[in-house]
Amino acid sequence: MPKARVLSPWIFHLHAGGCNNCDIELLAALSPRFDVERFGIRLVGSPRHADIIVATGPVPKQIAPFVKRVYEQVPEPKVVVAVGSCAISGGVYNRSDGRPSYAVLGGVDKVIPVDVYVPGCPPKPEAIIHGIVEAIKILAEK
Amino acid sequence: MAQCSSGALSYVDEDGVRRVSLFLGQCLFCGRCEEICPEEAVKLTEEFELAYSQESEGAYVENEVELAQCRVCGTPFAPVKHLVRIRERVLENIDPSERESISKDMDIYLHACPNCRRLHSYEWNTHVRKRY
Repeated sequence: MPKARVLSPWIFHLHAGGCNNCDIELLAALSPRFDVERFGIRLVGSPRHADIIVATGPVPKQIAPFVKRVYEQVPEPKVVVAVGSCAISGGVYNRSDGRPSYAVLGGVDKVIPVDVYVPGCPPKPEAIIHGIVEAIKILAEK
Repeated sequence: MAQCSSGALSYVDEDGVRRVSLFLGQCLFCGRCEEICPEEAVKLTEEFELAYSQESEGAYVENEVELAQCRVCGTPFAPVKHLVRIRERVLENIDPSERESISKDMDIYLHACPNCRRLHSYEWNTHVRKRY
């Protein structure tokens, strides 16, 4: 594992459905208030440049093949962080009996392997940073 | 449990113990459970470092409560604390003239499961009809 990739992991933000709240929190974590960019954690526009995928949303059935394609485009080694209740279990997109609704798969881990889960609806920017730190630890071991 | 809008709270009864668990991956942190809990057993905190990589490490917040056993058939049916609390609240809110007789009735039926209560209510003379 090249040292540079652990010291400066680039993240790709994968939006898979969801209500945009987790995405706003993720951007808050990246922007000046919390500013993880000073540690070299950068948001990139293409999955081909990324080390860590930060996925949000309950993965609607329509989006599922694209989620898979984005995952395949990221070079190895890669780590996936599922941010928010939806990305873990379906969250508010579940029916009252706890099973996902007919339109969503209910969780990023139904499509691609997930390494770190960050619960919250939405998680605080601090929580997302903690999740990314955990992801970096896993990345260093890979 | 029914108040949890996201369905994150659940429980199972086994071995005379009720295991209550909160799945954080489903929880919305809305605070509804904290708001309605009469025993103030739920408390939201400022803790945010909740990220986990395996379900077994930190995905669930769990608690156990002891269940009272039915004195007739022996099946566990309700938490011990719950029964004590019900007794207190009923006696607190009832008409003072009825308090003593209701208290006596409760000694008889409160520690029986709902099914046994129904079967034996006439036999024990704890049926509500006797008051009308």
